[in-house]
Amino acid sequence: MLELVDLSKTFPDGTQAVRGVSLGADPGELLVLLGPSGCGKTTTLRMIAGLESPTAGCVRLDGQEVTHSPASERDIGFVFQFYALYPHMTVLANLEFPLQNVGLDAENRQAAINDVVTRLGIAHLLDSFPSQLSGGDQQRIALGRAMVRTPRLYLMDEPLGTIDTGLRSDLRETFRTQQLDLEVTTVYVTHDQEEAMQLADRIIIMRDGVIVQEGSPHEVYDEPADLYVADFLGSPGMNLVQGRWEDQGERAFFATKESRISMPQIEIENDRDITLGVRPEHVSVETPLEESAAHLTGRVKRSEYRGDHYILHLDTPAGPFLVRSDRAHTSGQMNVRLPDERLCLFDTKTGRRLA
Amino acid sequence: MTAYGEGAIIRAARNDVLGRDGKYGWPQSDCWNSTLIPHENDHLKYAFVGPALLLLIALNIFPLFYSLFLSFTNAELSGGAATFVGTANYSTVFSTPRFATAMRTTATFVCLAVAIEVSLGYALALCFRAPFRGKSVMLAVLLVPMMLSPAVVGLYWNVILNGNYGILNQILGALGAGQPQWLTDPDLKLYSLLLIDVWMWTPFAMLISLAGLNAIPGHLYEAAQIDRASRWTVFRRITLPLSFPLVALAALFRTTDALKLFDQVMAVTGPNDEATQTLSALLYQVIFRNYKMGQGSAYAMVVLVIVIALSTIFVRHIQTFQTRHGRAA
Amino acid sequence: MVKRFFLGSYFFIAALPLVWLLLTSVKTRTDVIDPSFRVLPTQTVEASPPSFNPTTAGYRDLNEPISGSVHGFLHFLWNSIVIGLLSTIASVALGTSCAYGFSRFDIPGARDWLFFTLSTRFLPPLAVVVPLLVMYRTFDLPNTHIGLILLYTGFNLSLAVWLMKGFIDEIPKAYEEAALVDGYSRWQAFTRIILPQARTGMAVTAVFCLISAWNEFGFAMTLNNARAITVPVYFAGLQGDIQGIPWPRITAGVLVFVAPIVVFTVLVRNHILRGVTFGTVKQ
Ligand SMILES: Nc1ncnc2c1ncn2[C@@H]1O[C@H](COP(=O)(O)OP(=O)(O)OP(=O)(O)O)[C@@H](O)[C@H]1O
Ligand SMILES: [Mg+2]
Repeated sequence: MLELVDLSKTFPDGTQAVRGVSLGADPGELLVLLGPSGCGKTTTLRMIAGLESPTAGCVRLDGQEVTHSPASERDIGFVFQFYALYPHMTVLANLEFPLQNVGLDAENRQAAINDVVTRLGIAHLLDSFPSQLSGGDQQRIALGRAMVRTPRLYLMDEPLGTIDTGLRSDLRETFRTQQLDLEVTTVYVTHDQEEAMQLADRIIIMRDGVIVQEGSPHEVYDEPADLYVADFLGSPGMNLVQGRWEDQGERAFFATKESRISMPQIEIENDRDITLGVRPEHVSVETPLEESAAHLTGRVKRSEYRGDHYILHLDTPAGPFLVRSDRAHTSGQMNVRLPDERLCLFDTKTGRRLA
Repeated sequence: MTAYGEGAIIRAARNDVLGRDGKYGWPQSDCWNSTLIPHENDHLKYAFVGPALLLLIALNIFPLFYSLFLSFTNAELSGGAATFVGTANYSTVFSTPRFATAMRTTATFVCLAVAIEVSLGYALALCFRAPFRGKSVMLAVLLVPMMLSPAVVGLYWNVILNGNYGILNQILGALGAGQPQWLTDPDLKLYSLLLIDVWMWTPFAMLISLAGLNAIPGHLYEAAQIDRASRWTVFRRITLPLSFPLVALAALFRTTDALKLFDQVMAVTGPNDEATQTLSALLYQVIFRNYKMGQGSAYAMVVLVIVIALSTIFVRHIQTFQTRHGRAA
Repeated sequence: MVKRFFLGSYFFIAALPLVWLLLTSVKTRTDVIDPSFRVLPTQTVEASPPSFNPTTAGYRDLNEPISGSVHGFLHFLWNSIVIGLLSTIASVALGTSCAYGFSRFDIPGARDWLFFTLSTRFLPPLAVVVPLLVMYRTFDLPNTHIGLILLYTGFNLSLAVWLMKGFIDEIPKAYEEAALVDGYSRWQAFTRIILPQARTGMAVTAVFCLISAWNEFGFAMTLNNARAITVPVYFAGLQGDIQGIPWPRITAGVLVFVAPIVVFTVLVRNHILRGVTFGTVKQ
């Protein structure tokens, strides 16, 4: 449906905003582009829309090359990062504008508008001008303006960036429902990982203009491709402990300065600098402990209340360590079991995942 | 997907995409590294800017060259055949005293006008900084003169400056200051024109200076107050230097404009009055009263060299001004 | 205190000519050229200085031809209106599209073109009028409305392009981009999205173009000696004839002529700084 091949953009001032991005989307799929500010998400989206000319690479829609064809011929619905509602038109006129040149008769236009108006609950806003509305309302209209047509592709640039949390997940659901109903392929940009997890069929994580990892929410969360993704996803992110690999024949250890954790057998050369990663919710607080299992011992410094759970801040010989727990622990020593199947090992130097 | 590092990722990503059971079915394409083709078609942007620029070229660039050509001929206003006369016209320009006189008159006028208008305007702007009642009405009234037609203003000032019944002399008379003949005394005529110009354009310098003053951040003054700087120091070290770029802008605007002085001359003293014959008035006299088009063109070329030199300075100032204020030209 | 006094006296002196203009237009000619100080309008018969009997005769006789001219004031006013309005419409139209082009596209040498545009404004009319006159004669344009309209359109383009560029630069590109992805062409985006939002800018630009066409004298006087004479040329032509001039009628005409300018100045008062500095300084 949508294919990007080695897409790159170097701005005239020399900024390499996007460097060789390749990805594809199946019909009806919702891709989320996730990454920190300035990583090239907007630029990528704009190249797909035809608002920016790529310096290299190509864009295809339905197998048809559109890299340099005008935006107006691509049949795309775009929601801009900062609404871009036409200030000189009422909300109704704003919603009607995208329909006026697609050859719909008045009746069908009205029907399409009524549909989004009810979906988004904006009936009471139709006669106002954008400047009279709150940020959240403007954002809704912007969403509505894209949803009023059924284009080949939705491109969303942080469409919910400025809305309060509660309303935000409502709108997210509204949009997702409509998107699923209409089966419109969507590329959704956000830097909010929670939003990414909630919406995405596939998440594409970008950094410095490059894709670092691509996969289902499950894949990117559980099997981060590198230290960056491991740290970036999840709140709090993965526990990352630096150490060394000790291969002693029948047993292997992960050694930090002050501790040694026994490890399952993996093909890693002896003495390599390794970073051990494990998510706070994947470790369990256990006493007593099986001797052979990988574990860490630490002292509880603080319990952070998170509503339905606690995050325990531990001091371990390997450094600070976070544990998710159902109960608060105010002090004392405790053992933390590190489940073999949940451990991620990264090469400290390259950041790449080893196992 | 375990590759990291740019090249690896790109390759991996592409393989990944390509390898998905042919789901995307890439047709092999030559689109890699395609050259930068702006997807807006090129004709469109020239359609936007073209008409205006063509008109400007037709009305400015072409005449300049044509003028240059005419300046080497003895063409007459009435038409008829013109012959090539070499540099004779230019010899005339530089040998006739009236060109030197016109240069001197124009230079005197420009220097005095700009100096008075800018300093008076700046002083007024300093007074206008603080808010007070009726400020906006006062500003509005002051701005009226510069919106009026200089020719019409010139005509009307005849009533004010008239030696017998003019209001100015009535007031001066009441003050016991005599009855200067503003419009007929050769020593005063140029100053009458100057007076009109100052009346019209001082508010212009004031308006721009005021913008410069208002743009000075208030915290600088607070800092100066903490440092116990004297009012004079504050003015010399903060107010003046920070508002200077805009004051210079006002001065340059006025210079290029005063250089063209013609309308008021025509309306007050006429083009051939030796005491007030500016360069433009001289050009008018040569071309339209003496009918010497070729010679007039030679005069025009010399005047243009001066004007273009000055306006280049002006344009430079605007360029640096704009870059410093962070707006691309 | 010193400031107040200084400001007050300047204001008094600057406003005096304007007030005097008003007074002159409601006097009789005898009162105008009376060297004794007459400032107070009064109803008493046979007023003596400092009073005078106001009269509306100046306004009533506004259109009487003066000293041998065939046409009255209104004829010239009509010329000014036609030439001013049409040239203003043309400059704003051309200037807006040109400014849009420079604002939104990568045009080779854009900076140089813009400064060329600006520098056309500095050329003294008298220094470029000869070749224009020859050109105009070739196309039969001297003495026509269209000749001056064309010239003023070009003359005001520098102003229109620079002012409009400032205004259009302030409109975020995202609006047009939204229209482009919604399937509208660049031209449609320009007419349906940019133009409505640039309305204020266009109005301000129009006022400044109109003022400068309305007030122009150099070209109007040299390219014309009969049919398309505008008000400034007509008024300035009276200069040689000071003693015989019917001042009340003239000053009434001056007031009628400048009234629209004053009204427009008030309408665009928040943009005057921008207008007089070609958009290089914003309020
Ligand atoms: N027109 C431009 N000219 C030069 N550099 C640009 C331009 N637009 C964007 N950039 C730069 O390109 C990089 C990527 O920008 P982009 O807007 O794509 O980031 P983003 O991922 O959308 O960030 P954000 O989350 O803040 O919206 C940034 O460093 C930005 O400064
Ligand atoms: Mg962005």
